[in-house]
Amino acid sequence: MGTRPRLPMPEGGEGAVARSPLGHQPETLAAFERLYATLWSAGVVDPRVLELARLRNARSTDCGI
Amino acid sequence: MQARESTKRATRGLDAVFGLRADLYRDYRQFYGLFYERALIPLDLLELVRLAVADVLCCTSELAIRFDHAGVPLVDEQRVQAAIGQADEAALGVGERACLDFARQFVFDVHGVTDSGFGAVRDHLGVAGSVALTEALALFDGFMRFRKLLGVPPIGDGAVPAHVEMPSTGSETLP
Repeated sequence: MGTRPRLPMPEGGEGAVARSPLGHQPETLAAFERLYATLWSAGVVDPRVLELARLRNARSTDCGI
Repeated sequence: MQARESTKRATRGLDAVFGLRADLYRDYRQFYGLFYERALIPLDLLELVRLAVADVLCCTSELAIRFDHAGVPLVDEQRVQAAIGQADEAALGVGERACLDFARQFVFDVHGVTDSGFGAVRDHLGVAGSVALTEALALFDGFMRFRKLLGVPPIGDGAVPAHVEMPSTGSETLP
């Protein structure tokens, strides 16, 4: 996989995620953030377990970000 | 009381499983529905990609679904068969094939996506469109694995694809 950004970063937007390629689709970004927030804030799984799963997944997929 | 509630629960499709977490499922439907309602990439391409991912993952409950718009299939069956390797790819355009190659590689091994492969997608869909396709792939890939892992039952008998109106942000159910 290449190491150079494959897309230009969007201009404007608040926060690092909005200034990432996801910011090119602000509606889907907002919808994703709602889903993600529900997962973390209203879930039945202990957040510590979620965090471990998130990091394990990042490592498995070699996602350094 | 509990028994009566359980009889109301959906027994087929995504509702049967994801419906157990109503709040998450609501947010998921709104997210998923955006790709269709806003046609963030051409709807026929979205359908081809969805089915190509289902084919790679051997996700039978997903492969048994065909989305329609106002009663008309998003894609004719010949092009569906081309996208899942059962018919000549000549039925597909060059840009569509680039997007399907990208989709399959995304599922197989995302590290194998090359700059030229992604470049062909960007050339076909533009910057915003290529972001939308990649997001849609993340949804398709992740939730087809969800379907398989949790045994989501197909909505029909599985032998013949079931035609369902395409999702929207207001969808209260998904197949």
